[in-house]
Amino acid sequence: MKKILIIVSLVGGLVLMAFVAKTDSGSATEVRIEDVVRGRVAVSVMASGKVNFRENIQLRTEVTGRIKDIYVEEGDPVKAGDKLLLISPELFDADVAQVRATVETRLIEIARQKIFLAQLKRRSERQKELFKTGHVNQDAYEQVERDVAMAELDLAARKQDLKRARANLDSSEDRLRKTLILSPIDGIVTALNVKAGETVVAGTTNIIGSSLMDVSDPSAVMAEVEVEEADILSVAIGQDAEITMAAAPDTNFKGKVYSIATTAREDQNRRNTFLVKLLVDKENATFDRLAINCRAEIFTNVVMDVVHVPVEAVLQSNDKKPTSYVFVVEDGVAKKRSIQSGIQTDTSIEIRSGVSEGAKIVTGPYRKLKNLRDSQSVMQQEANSDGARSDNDRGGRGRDDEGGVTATVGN
Amino acid sequence: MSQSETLQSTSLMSGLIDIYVDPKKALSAADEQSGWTMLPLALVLMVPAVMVAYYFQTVDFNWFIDQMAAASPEEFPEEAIEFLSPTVMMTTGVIGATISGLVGVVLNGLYLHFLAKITTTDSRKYGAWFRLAVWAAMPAAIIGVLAALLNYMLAGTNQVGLDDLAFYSVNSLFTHIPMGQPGASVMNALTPFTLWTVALTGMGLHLWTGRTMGKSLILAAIPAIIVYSVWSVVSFG
Repeated sequence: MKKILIIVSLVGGLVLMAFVAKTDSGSATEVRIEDVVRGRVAVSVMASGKVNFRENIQLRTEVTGRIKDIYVEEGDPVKAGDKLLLISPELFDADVAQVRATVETRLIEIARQKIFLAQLKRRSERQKELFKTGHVNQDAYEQVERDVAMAELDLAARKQDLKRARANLDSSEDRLRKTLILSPIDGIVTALNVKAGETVVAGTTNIIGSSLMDVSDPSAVMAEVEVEEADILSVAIGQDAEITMAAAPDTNFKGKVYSIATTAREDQNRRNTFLVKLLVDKENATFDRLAINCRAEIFTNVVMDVVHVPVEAVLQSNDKKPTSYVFVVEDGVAKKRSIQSGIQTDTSIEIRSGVSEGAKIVTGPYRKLKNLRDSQSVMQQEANSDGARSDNDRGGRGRDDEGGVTATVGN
Repeated sequence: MSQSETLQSTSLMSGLIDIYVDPKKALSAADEQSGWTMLPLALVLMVPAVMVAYYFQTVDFNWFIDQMAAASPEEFPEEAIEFLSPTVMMTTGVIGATISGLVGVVLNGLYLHFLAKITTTDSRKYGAWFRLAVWAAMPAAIIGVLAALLNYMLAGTNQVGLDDLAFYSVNSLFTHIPMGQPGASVMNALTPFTLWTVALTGMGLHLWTGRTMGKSLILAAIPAIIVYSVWSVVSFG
C-alpha cells in the first residue's frame, strides 16, 4: 500500500509539474504584433552631391586687356544681350582703324590697277590693228600683250590683298566687339570673379583672370550627385528621385534622373563614383543660391499596391535551400508560414505569397521571434515593456517606430 | 534506527525498484553490497545518453540550429553551422551527457568520502561513497529522462528545444527565462529532482553514519547549494 502510494505520488507529481509547465508556458510570450499592410515598396539608392542650375555658363574673355567697366553685380538678373563687362577697347579701336585704312588703300590700289589695265588693253587693241597692217613688228605687239596679262595678274593680286585686309578688318572688329561682354542667356549672374581695373587674359583656364563671371538660367535646377559604382547599374534615366537640400532639410523635392556619366571618377576617398544629374522639379520654389549640398534618393525599383511586411518579421530557415517564413498570429497562437518574397528594402519586404493583407504577424523583439516555435502562444507586448526594442536590431536592420509599417524605404 | 534494524533489499533488481518506493531498503543494501555499483552507474550514464541520441535523431535539426544560433550571444559563423550535423551533435551530446553525469557522481562521492573522513571515524573507502552517490542520483536521472522523453513524444512536433524537454525545471515551471538569456542555464538545470537526489543522499548519510536525518540532509545539500549558488551568481552576474 505504501509502495503504491509512493508510485502514485511520483506520477502525480510529474503530471502536476507537466500541467504547471504547460499552462504556464502557455502563458503567451509577449511579442510585437503588427498588421500586414498593402502599399508601396521602393528600392532606392542614396547619393549626395550639389544642386546647380541646369544651364550655367562660365564667361571667359577672348581678348586680353584691362577691365574698364563692369555693369552687373553678382545675383543681378540679366537678359540675353545685356552688357555685362567692358574691356578697354582703345587698342582694339586703333587696330580696327589701322586695318580699315589698309582696306581702303587696297581699294584705291585696285582702282588704279583697273585704270592702268584698261589703258593697256586699249594700247593692245591699237597694236593689234597696227600689227595687222604691218606698221609694228611682232615683238612690239607681243610686248603689249604681255603687259596686259601682267596687269591683269597684278589686279587679281591686289584683289586678294583687299580680301586679306578685309579679313583683318573683320578680325579686328570682332576683337573690338569682344571687349564688350554680353549675356548669352536670360538668367542671373551667379558668380563674378573679377573687378574693374584687373587685367584679363585670353585663352587660359584655371588661373585668376581667365573666368570673368557665371551666368545661369534659374528656370531649371539640376542636382548633380555621385553614385557609387556598386549601385550605378540599377540607376537608369527617367527614374524618380527625392532630393533633400542642406539648406532646406524639411522640403523634399521630386526629380528625375536626367543623365548618367559613362565614366567613373575617383572621389577623395578613392572610391569610384559616377556623376548622375537629376532634374529637380522645383515646383514654385525659387533658387537663387547654387552649389548647395544635397542628398538624393533615387528609386531604382518601385512596386505599388503590394502586400509587404517589416523586414525583421521575416526569418530564414537554415536548410541547404533556405526558405523564408513569418509567424502569423491566429487566435493568440503564432503559426509558421512560408512566404515568397519580392523586392526588399532595408525595412520592408514585398510578400508575393504566404500571407495576405490584414494578417497579423510577429515582428519582434528579434530574440523572442528567433526562439518562437510553431503554434506557440503569443500576445502583444505593451509599448513600454522592457526590451521592447532593445534586442531587435540585427546588423543594422530594424525600425524605430513602434506601430505601423513604413511603406517607402531606402538603403 | 540502526542499520542492522533496517530491512534491506534482497537483490540488485529489487534494490533498483526499492530506491523509488522504499529507498531506505535500497540504500541499506547498497552499503553492504559492493558489487551494486556498475548497474546503477550504467543506468545513470546511459539513460540520459540514449535520450540525447534519440533526441538528435528525431528533432527538426534545422530548427534546432536556428534556436542555437539565436541563443548565441555572438554571431554564429557560417562554417560552424555547416560543420554541425545531427551526427556531430548527437556524438557530442552523448559524450557530454555521459561525462557530466559521471563527473557529478564522482564529485558527490568525493564530497561524501571527505566528509566522512573529516567528521567521523568511518572506515568506508571512496568506492562505497561513490556507490551512495550513484544510487542517490539514479532515480532522478531515470525519472527525469523518462519524463522528458514522454514530454517529447507527446509534444506532437519535433520542434522542441532541449531545455523545453525538461518541463519540470524551475525555468519551465516558474522563471521562463528565454534560452541564451542570463540565468536560463542554471534555472533549466535546477529541478525538483535535485531535491530528490539531495534527499536520497541525506537518507544514505543518515543510514550509513547514524547521524540525525536533519543533519544528514543539510550535509547532503551543501554541494548542491554551493554549485547552484555559484552558478547563479555567474549566470545572473
